[in-house]
This record gives sequence, C-alpha cells and structure tokens, in this order.
Amino acid sequence: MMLRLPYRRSLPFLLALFLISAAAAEAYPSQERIIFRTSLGDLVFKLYPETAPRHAAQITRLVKSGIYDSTFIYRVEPGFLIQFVDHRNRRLPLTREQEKQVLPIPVEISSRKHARGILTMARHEGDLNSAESSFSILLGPAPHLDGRYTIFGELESGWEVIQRVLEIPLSKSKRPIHRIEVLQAFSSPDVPIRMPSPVQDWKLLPLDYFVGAESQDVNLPTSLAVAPILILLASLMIIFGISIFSFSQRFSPRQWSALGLILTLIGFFFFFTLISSKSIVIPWGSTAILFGAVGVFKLMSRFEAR
Amino acid sequence: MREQSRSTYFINGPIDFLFIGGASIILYLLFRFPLSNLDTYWSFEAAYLMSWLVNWPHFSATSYRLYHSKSNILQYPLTAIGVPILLFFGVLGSFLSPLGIAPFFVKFFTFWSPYHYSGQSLGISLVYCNRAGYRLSALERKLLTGSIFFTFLTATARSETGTDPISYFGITYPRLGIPVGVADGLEVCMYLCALVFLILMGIRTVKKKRLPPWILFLPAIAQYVWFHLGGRLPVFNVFVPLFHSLQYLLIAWSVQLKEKMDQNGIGPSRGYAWKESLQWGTGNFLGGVGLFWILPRLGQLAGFPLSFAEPVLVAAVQIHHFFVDGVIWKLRNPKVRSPLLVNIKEVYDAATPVPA
Repeated sequence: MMLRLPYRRSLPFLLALFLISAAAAEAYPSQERIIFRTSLGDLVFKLYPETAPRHAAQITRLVKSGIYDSTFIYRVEPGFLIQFVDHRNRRLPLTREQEKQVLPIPVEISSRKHARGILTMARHEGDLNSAESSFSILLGPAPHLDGRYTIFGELESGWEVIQRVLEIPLSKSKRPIHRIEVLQAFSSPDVPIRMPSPVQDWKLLPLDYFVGAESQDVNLPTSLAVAPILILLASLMIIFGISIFSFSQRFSPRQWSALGLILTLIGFFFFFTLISSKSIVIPWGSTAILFGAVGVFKLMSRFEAR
Repeated sequence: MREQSRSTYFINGPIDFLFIGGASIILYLLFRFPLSNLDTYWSFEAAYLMSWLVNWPHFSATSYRLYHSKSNILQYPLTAIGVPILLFFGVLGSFLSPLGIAPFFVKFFTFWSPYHYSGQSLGISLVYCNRAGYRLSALERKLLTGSIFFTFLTATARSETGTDPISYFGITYPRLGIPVGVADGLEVCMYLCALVFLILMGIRTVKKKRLPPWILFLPAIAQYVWFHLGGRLPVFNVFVPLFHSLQYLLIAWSVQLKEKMDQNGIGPSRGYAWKESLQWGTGNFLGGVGLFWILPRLGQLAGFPLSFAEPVLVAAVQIHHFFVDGVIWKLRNPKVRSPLLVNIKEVYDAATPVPA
C-alpha cells in the first residue's frame, strides 16, 4: 500500500531524528547510568542497586527530576574526595514539584570499601538517616568512612574531568575558586538531544569566590584584598576633585547637588562593599545595608532634578 | 480636569492591558497550571531570543532619547557624560579586582534593578491616572507606592536571608544574611499597603460614584506576580525582564512618534507611523546588540572570559539606564506638547482631533 504523501515527506525528518538520538545514545552506555554533564566534561556514574537499592532508586529519581542541574562542586580535597553541593544551594531555585522529590534516605551499609572512584553519600554528622542529595567521589582509599556512610555507586568514566577539577586553585576552605557546575544530569537511556557544551579550560569557568568575611581564606595578604578598593576610591576622589576645581564656575545649583549625589553614591558603594562581606556576622548590618541602598536609590531618582 | 476627547490608553484597552502587565499575568497562569511541566530549557531559550527583540532595544531606547540631540545632553550633562565616566571606573575597578570589587559591583546592580522596576510600575500607574483624569490623594499615592515597592523589598530581603553565595551569570557574590523576620515584616507591610489602598479606593468609588480606571491597578498586580508569585517559578521568572521592557516600549514608542511629529510639523498618516516605527525599532535593535552583545565581547578582547566580562558590563549598562530613565521623561522641549498623553490614533489618523 502506498504511504500517504504527508507521511512520506516526514520520513526523512523522522529518520534524521532517529539517527541523532541513536548517535547521542551511542555515546553513552546502554545500561542505565547516571551522567553528570559538568562545565568541564561528563562524569558517568554506575550505581549499586544490589547493595544500596534505596539510594540508587532515590538518586535516579532526583536526577530525572532535574534536581542536580545547576548544583556544583564545592569541596575538593586532593587525595580524599570531591563533593557536590546539596540541592538547597544549587544556582537555580527548586520548583515545588522538585522539592517534593527530595526525601531523607536511610543509611545502607554494605561490605563494600571506600576506595578510589567510589560514590559515598553525605549526611549530617550524628544522624545516620539524614542523607538527601549531596555526595562525594572518592579520590583515594578512606577506610575511616567504612561502616558509617552509604556507598551507592562508582565513577565509571570521567577521570580526565576529575583531573581538570584538581588543577583549579582552592581557597583555604577547600572550595574551587572557579565554579564547576552540573549543567545537566540525566540517566543514559534518556539522553537529551540538545545539551549544553562543557569547556576544556577551567580558566574559562566563572569565578566562584569573593573576598570578604573569608578574606583570610585566600592565599592573599589581607592588605592586598583591601588595596584595590582603596586605590579605586582614591582615584575617583582625585578625578572628581580636579573636575570640580576646573569646572566649578560653570556649574549650576542643580549640577552642584548632582555632584553631591555622585559623591554619596561612591561613598555608599564602598560602604556596601566593605560591610556586605561582613554582614553575615552582623545581622542588623545586613538590614541596614538593604534599607540604606533603597535610600540611596531614592536619592538618585533626584539626580539632576529641576 | 479630564477632557472628553482624551483617551485613557496609548493604543486601546486590550493592547495596553497586554503590554502593561496583562501578558505576564496570563503567561504566569499558563505556566502555573496547564504548562507546569514545561521544560525549563525551552523557556530559557525563548526568553534569550526575546532579549534581542525586546529587552535590549528598551535599553537602547532610553539612551537614544537622551543622546540623540545636543540640547538633551546639555539639559542633563552629568547624566549624559558624568555617569558613564563614573561607571567606566566601576568597570575598570571590577576588571582590576575580579574578586574584590566585581562581585559587589554586580550585587549593587542586582539590588538597584528591582527598585527600578518598581519605580517604572509606579510611574506607569500615575501616567494612566493622569490620562484618565483620576487624581490620587497624597495618602493613596503613598499606599500605592508602598504596595509596589514592598514587593521588591520583600523579594530582595528573602533572597538575601541565606548565607551561601549566589550568582549572576558568571559572577558569584555573597548574600547579606538578612534575618528572616525582616523579610516577613516587609511582606506584611506589602499586604497592608495594598489592602488599605483598595479599601480607600472602594470608599472613594462609593462616595464619588466613579470607578477608578482599571489599568491603574495593573502595574501593581503585575509587579506582585513578577516578584512574589513568579519568583518560585523559574520557567516564568526568566521572562520578567521582557515584561518590564514591554511596558516601557509601548510608552516610549508612542511618545517617540508624537514628539517627532510635533517637532518636525509632520501631519498624521499611516505612512509616517510605519516609517518612523521601523526606523526607531531598527535603531534600537542595533543599539541593543551593541550594548549587550558587542560590548561584553570587547571585554573578552581585553583578556577576560565572557562569563566574567558580560555580567560586569551588563551591570554598568543597566546602572546607566537607571540614571538616564530618571531624567529623560523630564526633558523640556517647547515644541512638544504633553507627549505622555498621546493616543496612537493621533499619529496615524488625520481625522482624530488632538486634545487641547
């Protein structure tokens, strides 16, 4: 029987779609695996449903719900582990449906040992059944974790990505100063057709660190952390001083008031910069910053007003 | 006193509704209910595409309005020249100190942006009140201001209650760690202001036997959807800048047509309306590309990764926009009569009487 014309025309498209899907799927294992497409490349995880069935099922559910998308590596201890941040701290906020997927997972201790490449589930100290989403990839043997933490899988491939991660400078709190994000997490039978592209060079990754309350944390002398701010402030003061001296005869009262607002803005920005980094330890300082900012914005709406 | 021939709307009721916030409310409802399983990836792609066509041109439109004539620059020289110089130093400081200054430069912008949204929403409400000849009392105006601005304050305070860092494009900056009680208090203030405003409107309606113009409430409702309801819906949240830009472009476009017509003594006609719209639209599209696509890539040429140069330069462009937007609607041109009262029919239909 002859195919109807619309179906015949759509055949090449369907064939192309099939080939693209097949090519995408062929790049990944045919058995079910969890893949994290990070900003430095793909990490392929094999799970252990036979020894950690609840963890395997829950992690797979979280991956398919998109909960690992936009999480990132927040802790690197060379020779020990690389740890992914939990779902609460990922860059994109969770939807209500995603929040419902996150449930505590009871610990599942097995005879497996914590060795290089093992995936071990993070939990709160003192609460064996508090694991939710954060986990680590071990970079070496860790016998002190045996019998206390759940081993739920292993890193099957992606060691070159791990190597790139290890090249990134760390802060003293062991956080990579460039962000390595999970761009997309999926399980291998459901390979997306379109995926974001990773980069090969970690220097192209966004900075994931700021100098502030933890200014002692970076291997920089404290004075150098503050110096750029002071240099910029001093430069601005000199330039504005010279400008005002040179053009003062031509300024109208409206422009004089606008100059006053500019100085206010500059001063507040530096106040904002210096206090923001400390506001975590000064709760009402943070509130003062917020309302102060609103006050400054309100003043700026009067900039050069008649 | 309202003149009978003046229209409340820039175009007409349905179109003004869509542009001033109605489209965003409809889209939110769609994403919240029938399209709640839509893949976030596609909404991000769509929002990015619309940036080129709507968001970026809206920035360019403000710059065009200030810089297209020498007399405008001379009316506001500090805004036209001083502020760009100031921001240049902000960008320079950010590039020289990517860990020390850049995060706070970007954070400062992220604080200012929703304040600017609130100012625009309030301004648009007042413009429509003026067009409808409906004058708000000082208290009503304060309550409307409060209900709009508290939406931004509440959303900002809530996003700052954590202690972990957050990101804007490729730059991460610290949260303030604001106490949760502060955010809760601001939310209560928001609802209180809105409730009392509605009560006063109700009392006034009964006393004066005149309904307020419905479009007066639309910017405030849209703002509530954007910052309060939509904040937990990432698939919708990416479109919020688009809707803010749509509000602006409707008014800026209408005003542009009217001003140029009056300035150059051009008679109303469809040909003029189409030609001027096309020129203005194309110019703003190209200007937007220059500001948001070319400029960040110049930062890349200076040796910085795009993921760093883009947020810094985008922050600078937007802060400049906040200043410019504050002055351009106060520009004085003796040849232009009340451009904010224009109805688009005056521009293309010679038979439409122009209000005195």
